[in-house]
Amino acid sequence: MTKNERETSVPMSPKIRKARNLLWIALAVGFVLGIYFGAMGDGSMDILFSNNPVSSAVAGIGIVVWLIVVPWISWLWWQAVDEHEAGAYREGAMVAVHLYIFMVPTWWLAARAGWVPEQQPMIVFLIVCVVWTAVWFYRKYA
Amino acid sequence: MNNRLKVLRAERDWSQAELALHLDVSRQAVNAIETGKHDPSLPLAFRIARLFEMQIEEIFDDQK
Repeated sequence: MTKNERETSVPMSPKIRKARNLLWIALAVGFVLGIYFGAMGDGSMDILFSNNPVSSAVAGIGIVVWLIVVPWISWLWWQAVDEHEAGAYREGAMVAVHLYIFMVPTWWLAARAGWVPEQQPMIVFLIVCVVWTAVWFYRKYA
Repeated sequence: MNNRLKVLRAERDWSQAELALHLDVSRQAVNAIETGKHDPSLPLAFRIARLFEMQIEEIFDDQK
């Protein structure tokens, strides 16, 4: 067996496999939550970015998942992740926080001047998450 | 920081994944250390040194 063949056949350490599996679980939780919001919402595609009222059940389930399930998965992931990925994740967080600090007041002032639409918290949230993940994956894989 | 990790790994005919398994890190972490994109923490540097039965300064060089 060549070294390249062994590269793909060698098992990961249990800790690294656990970290990878937890990421997949987090992704699945997000997917299921998205499907749930889509099914329980008003039928529009922008349920995550809408400010329309939702039922107490939808809000309660979303909040419980976001405040208990996701932090628990995140805590488990932090116990399993190696220092290289932890560093990449922190770097993504640093870039995302700086983006947040500069973007939010700029958008807020521009909206008050009537130049842009009013700020949407979930749009800001999505942009911060996308940038955070992009930097994290770039530093991990590039 | 320069290091001899790739050479030491090649001497043992290990893949990056095999070395990663020995060190309990991901293959990407081994690649990042070998290419100088990530400097290992002191505990990981000690693990690497013990694995190859060498001193840390025989593997890592901070002169360049």
